[in-house]
Amino acid sequence: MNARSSPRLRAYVSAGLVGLAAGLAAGSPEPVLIGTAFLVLALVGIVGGRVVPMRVSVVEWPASMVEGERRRILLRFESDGQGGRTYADLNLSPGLEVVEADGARVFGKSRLMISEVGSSREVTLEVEAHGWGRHSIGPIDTYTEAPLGMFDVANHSPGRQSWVVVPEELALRKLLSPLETNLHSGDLVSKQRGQGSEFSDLRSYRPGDDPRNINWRVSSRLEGLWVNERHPERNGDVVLLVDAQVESNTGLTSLVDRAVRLAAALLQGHARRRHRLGVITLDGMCRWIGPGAGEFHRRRLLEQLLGVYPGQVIWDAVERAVVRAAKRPAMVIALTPLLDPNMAGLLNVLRRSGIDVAVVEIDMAHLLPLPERRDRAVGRRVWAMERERIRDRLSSVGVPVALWDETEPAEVPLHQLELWRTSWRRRLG
Amino acid sequence: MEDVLATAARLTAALSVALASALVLMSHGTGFVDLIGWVAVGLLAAGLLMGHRGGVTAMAVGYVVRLGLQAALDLPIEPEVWLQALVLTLSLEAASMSFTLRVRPVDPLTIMVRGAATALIAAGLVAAMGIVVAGTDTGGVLVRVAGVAALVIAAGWVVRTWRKSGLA
Repeated sequence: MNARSSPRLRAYVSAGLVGLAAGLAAGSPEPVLIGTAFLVLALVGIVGGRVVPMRVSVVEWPASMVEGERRRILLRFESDGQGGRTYADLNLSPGLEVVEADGARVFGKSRLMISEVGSSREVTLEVEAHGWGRHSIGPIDTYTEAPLGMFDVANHSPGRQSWVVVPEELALRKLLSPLETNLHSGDLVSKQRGQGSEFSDLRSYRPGDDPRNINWRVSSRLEGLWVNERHPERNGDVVLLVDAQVESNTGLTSLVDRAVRLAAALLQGHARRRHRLGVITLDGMCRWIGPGAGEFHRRRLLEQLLGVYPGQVIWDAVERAVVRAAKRPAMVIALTPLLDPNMAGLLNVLRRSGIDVAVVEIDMAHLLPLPERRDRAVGRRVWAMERERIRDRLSSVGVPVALWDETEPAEVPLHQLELWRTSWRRRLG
Repeated sequence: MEDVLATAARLTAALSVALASALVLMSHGTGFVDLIGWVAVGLLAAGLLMGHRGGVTAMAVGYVVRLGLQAALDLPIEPEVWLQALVLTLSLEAASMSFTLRVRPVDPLTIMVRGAATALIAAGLVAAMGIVVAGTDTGGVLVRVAGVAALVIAAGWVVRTWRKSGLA
């Protein structure tokens, strides 16, 4: 708690006393009149005000929010006595805005004015999130004014509550299916043979085979007994590799925004198909969570994903970490603008380790200014050719790259990747 | 909103200096008396520019001293004292608003209304007291003794109230 006088309180007191003294010295009433008026104002301001400690606590806040959604936050203001007009600075994180308040007047994005607090008062806020990430409220600073505003009492409530704001989900009807499956049952047809519903092949009966698998129709036509072999339905492991290696505070940060939005949509989509999911993020650090399932695991993935911030990773040991996090039979979907040449190298290493890799390249053409001079135009063309060469080289080792233009729905690159993978498998037989 | 508050802080600072300057211009004094007035205005402007709150006190004290000098030198006190009190209080309120807007969240409209109301109260008090003391002889020894006593009592009262308020 910190009581601070207004500049005019000192001015009124000083001028008041000087006015009285000047009046006496000059033997004239004019300075006394002004001085007395100032002293009366100052004394009314001091006598009427009380230094009252105030506590603010956040009673209710959302566990999570979807971008653009409005949620309720409940604040409780408590003081040891009758507090006057109180201003509160909520210190909301930049993506949050108070749109409505019950029990207080909102001014600005995160400031409140409460006419009188009393011993306890609850204020309900309606907040709206304008961007994904981790958002928070607090610490809350309050300033309670004395009458006439001659002094104010500042209080700092240090509590800070935070929650995750999830990006608005992109509509994805079609997802990439992993080429290999794990041992958990799911809805992907495995290449292995075992118990399942998808017919695979016929073979002659061996002792120990389940009689229910005998194909009587074929056995009646051929000699001996024949049994059906089936493909079991299994789950896949999907690891999302999110590349956020762009310079912060530039227009390129929107590339990270798009990558995270697509990754969040892929997480939701694959989670609905009960795939085991993992995330690797490359921003200032290389952080990873290996494939797993369950609501808690999904929350962890989302938290990591939404904590991504544009930055440059230190490439030492990144390859080893990524290969370890995305080991077979996982499918890696890389979401990257392919700005860093090391990224192409990493994808190549993953593919050579036998991992199924697909790349959604976040297109950045619309972010680049048009070249004004001829030499710059030539430079741009050389750069574009260099990127094309990287794509071709990746494709030649079995890493398909689909460009995701900002104007296209997110499903388009996924569809292109699925077509490429189908033709690649056919080519390999 | 932060931009709005910063703009309001600048505007109120400019308004404060403008009002203080108008006050000095309105009340015609001689060279030395005017000099004190302009020094007070300069200190107010410097305080507002550099973020020093003492500028507001300097303006208030300087102006009252100037008024005392005008009275001591038998110079005409123009315009009416209540009008001078109104403009001076408005100037001090505007300066104070500027400082408040810089350091903490505050509703600009509310404090502007409060500042205007305070100025009107001050002018009203001065006008009322002016009517009460009109025609009385303020040069006598008894009046001076009573004045000194009032000054001591006022100073003591201010100090005591200040200490009790918790501001100290």
